[in-house]
Amino acid sequence: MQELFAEYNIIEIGGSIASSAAGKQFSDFGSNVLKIEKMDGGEIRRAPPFFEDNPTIESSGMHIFLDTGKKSIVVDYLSTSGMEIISKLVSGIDLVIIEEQPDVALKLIEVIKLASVNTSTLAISPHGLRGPYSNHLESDLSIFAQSTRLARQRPSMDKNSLAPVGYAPYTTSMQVGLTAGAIASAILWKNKNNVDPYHAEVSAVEALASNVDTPFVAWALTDGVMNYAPASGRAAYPTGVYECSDGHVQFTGADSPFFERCCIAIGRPEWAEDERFLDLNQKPNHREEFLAHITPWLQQRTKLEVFKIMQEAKVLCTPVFTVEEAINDPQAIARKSFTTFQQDEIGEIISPAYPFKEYMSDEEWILRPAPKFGEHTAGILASMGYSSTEQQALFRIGAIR
Amino acid sequence: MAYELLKGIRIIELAEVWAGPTACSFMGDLGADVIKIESFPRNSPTRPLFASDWRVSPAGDGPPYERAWAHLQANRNKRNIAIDLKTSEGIDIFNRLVKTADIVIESFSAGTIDRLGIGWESMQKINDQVSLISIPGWGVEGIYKGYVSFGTGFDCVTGHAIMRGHPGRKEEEILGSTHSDATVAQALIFAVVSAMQSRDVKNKGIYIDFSQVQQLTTQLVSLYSEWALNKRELNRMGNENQFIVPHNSFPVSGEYNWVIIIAEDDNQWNGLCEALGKEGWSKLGHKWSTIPGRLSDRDGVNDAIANITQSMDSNELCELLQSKGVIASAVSEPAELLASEQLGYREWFQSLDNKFLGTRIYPGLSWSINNVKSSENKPYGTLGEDNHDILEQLGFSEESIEKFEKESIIGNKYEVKG
Repeated sequence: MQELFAEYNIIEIGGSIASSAAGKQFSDFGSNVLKIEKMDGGEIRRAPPFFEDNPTIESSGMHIFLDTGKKSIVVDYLSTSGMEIISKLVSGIDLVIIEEQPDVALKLIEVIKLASVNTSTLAISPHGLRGPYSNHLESDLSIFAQSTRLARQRPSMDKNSLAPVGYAPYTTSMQVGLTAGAIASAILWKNKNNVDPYHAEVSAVEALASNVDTPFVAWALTDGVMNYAPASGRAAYPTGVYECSDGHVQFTGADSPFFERCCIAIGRPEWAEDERFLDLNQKPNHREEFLAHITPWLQQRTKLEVFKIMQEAKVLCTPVFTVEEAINDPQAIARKSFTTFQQDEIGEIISPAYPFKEYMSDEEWILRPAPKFGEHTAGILASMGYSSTEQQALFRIGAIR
Repeated sequence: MAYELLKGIRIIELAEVWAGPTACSFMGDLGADVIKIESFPRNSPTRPLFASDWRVSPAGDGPPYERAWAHLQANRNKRNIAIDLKTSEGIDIFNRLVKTADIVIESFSAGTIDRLGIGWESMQKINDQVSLISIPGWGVEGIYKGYVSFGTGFDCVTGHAIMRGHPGRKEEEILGSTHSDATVAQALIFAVVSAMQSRDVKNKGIYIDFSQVQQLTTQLVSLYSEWALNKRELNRMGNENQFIVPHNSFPVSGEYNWVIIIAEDDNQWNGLCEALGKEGWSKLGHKWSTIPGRLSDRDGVNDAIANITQSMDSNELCELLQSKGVIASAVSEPAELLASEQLGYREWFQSLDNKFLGTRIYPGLSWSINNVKSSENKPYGTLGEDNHDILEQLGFSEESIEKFEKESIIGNKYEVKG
């Protein structure tokens, strides 16, 4: 499977996390992905975490994870000489992924269109390349907030509740990159023969707000009445996180048939036929009775014991894992969900492996290391015909590294 | 709006709830011919039978399962056929669909389609060009075969849930997240194109084993790289960032209104201080004028900003801060999204028809293509709306179709309760 996209040549410009995430989908599936990096390394090389907390241009975990299998050249593409390099590089390239300020991105797109009429482009930005917000500064959390996703994470409907709280760092950028990768794959497949290039955009706010986990559709279809899933409603049990003897488990077990199955699993089969629990009008009044039984039942068992019992009963229940536990989960081990690769100057890196696999295939998922900063600059410029003297001159003015 | 990048691909959707149906909706947006097979006579999980169900719109007078937002938001640009797959006739219909298909996407727990007699082996015999993408929670292979969960559970087993939330709060307060539904939906587009790429080379279909848990781990790079590099778990930090102060949600005037304010560097901090009328905070010598100074007094900075913002109007504050080069955003509710000047400029929202709810405003697409004209959406399909058309195209006679209806092999109505 790792050669499925080997026929494509892709360039990434900008050095941000979303574009790097988009490019990784192709480099891990065999495409030739060239990363044109900024002189300062861009966001991807300056983003924590760093190996042993030592921030260097080579030690960012985001770079090491998201730039696997790519090549790197460092060019000041805002300079005229740098822009000329871009215009020469894009010849024969199927797709250029750009994540830059709108004015820079628009300029790059024009240069690419002039230099290579068959090359498609995909521009990633917070709000799109044009419009009143196009130059707004944004971050992961501010995009998440504007998309309505953050509002959905409100701890309770109490007006004195703590603020809604976001996800792990960079999850927004990762989702935007995934969205860009999806449309990029469709563009590449549709335009295999490079006769009809596409010029596409992914706006981060639109990418998030168009997806299924925003409350917008619920709000629009209920005339503004229903914004949030009433996960804390009194009828919604067992739903949420509950304590076990050694940690926690999560249930999504309030609705039929999961509730009935759960009642049987915890030794209360009669409740599975009891209208006090099945009638949604009566169910809220018996919440405490249910919790008084399930709470000690859970506390007498480990999270893995509860997980096994509930899954055998087909109840939607999972353990709450740490990252270490997730990596060591027997299912992850059985599926070889994680793999390792050697990164220069760092050592062995353990990383999530494939996003999906061929059924029953024993193909090893191989991740190639991320490139060093400008590792391929000299070689690629030489192959383009730049002489040693020209390269030294460009280096001297800070146009390449 | 729909683009035609995937035009010519027929996708059979045998998927429920959100991840699979959303993916297929996106691919309908991209021009694929998506045929959604709905459960019958058992109702689809996102189609409630009680009018009082919280997922049902109070508007309109149609049956509750046709007015459920939980269903509608993941099911545009598809055709719809409702079949009882527990009957031999239902299986025959499915098999004829497979014969015409390029892709089948199914989301049941691992092993279910095999038990129904419509698994990969059967599909290959019917059409060796079709690809199957199975998306059970933990994948098809492995020791958790048959296990069940929704997206909120996947968030828990990947290590994401436990690091979300305000610092010091109990695990029991962790809110559910359906992040995996959103990311799996996009990743499935890549998987479908991968299957088409594979067929182009091998001249036969491929069976893709797609674990939603596995897919989500690939999205949590900050967590997994922290572990890989430093053998540490990330701590719960609410909306704060270990390396940036301020980076938080701050109260503004009104009931439960918040803005996100972030000053990533000294320039942004200077702009923030100017906007808040506290230029002194950015003067060299003030404790908060430098990044180390702000990092060392995180609570002090946050409290001081909150004291000023709590009486300010959200929109005015955000506009002021953005004009000073500061990252600032309201924690938007849907009404604010709808009012976005930017989204209005980009004509992003779209109107879609629904037989029972009328024409409504829905979110636009996840992407735009500047040099290609988009085509019109297909109106939202109702249950079994395309039964006749699809069955006729599959070669069934009118007599057979009537018999299927009479024997409840197919249908277009569920039994409403309550």
